[in-house]
Amino acid sequence: MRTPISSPGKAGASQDGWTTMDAIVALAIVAICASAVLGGAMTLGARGRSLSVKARTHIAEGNAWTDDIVSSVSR
Amino acid sequence: MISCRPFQGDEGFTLLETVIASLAFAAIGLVLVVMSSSVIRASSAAQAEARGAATAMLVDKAIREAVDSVSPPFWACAFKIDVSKGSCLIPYAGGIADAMVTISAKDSALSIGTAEKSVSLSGVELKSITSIGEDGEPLGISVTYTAYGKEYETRACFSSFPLGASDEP
Repeated sequence: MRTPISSPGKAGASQDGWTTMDAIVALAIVAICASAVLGGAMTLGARGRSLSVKARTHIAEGNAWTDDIVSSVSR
Repeated sequence: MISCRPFQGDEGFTLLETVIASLAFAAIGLVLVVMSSSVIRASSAAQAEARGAATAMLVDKAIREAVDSVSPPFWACAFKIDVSKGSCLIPYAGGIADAMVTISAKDSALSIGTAEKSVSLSGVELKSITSIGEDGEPLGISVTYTAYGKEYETRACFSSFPLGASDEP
């Protein structure tokens, strides 16, 4: 059986298939959802990396402080 | 209209329409699978990075606190630290000769602290511990470790140093 998906609100809609506009809107919605998911994942990745950079910077600052003390004591 | 032929009552789909629809669904499914696998990979990598960074910060803090508690008096000329591959023993924790700061690795966990207060952190592998200082006079230690696959190095110095041979009047 042919089962067209009707677009509500259109005249004679019960037997109509999808219009090109319907398909474009549906594809656009899918694309927006997919890009939102991808964007979320990329943001998560960037946050992980920035946390790693912060940790390295913090440790490097402590190491520099230690090196200063050690060099001043050794002098 | 998207349909390629005029609507003719209660007919089904043609073979061509079915094949095209199947190909379209397969393409969309493939894109979704690729996308979801890359999203899962990115999120797990981000999770590992964040865990590694947080663990490294904790290890760094624990090492600095433990090493900072070591305060040998200025007359303790025989002050030595016992550094081996998998552990380190440092006397004069809190200024007491017999109190030891211990840094040791066991089963992918690093244990740092004294007999009273100790911290054990999992997911950390100890690479090396070396003494910082010149002429056998230790001024601190350098600890290299990996936290969730990433290598870090923490250099920390003691809160006081005994007088060395060069400091004698």
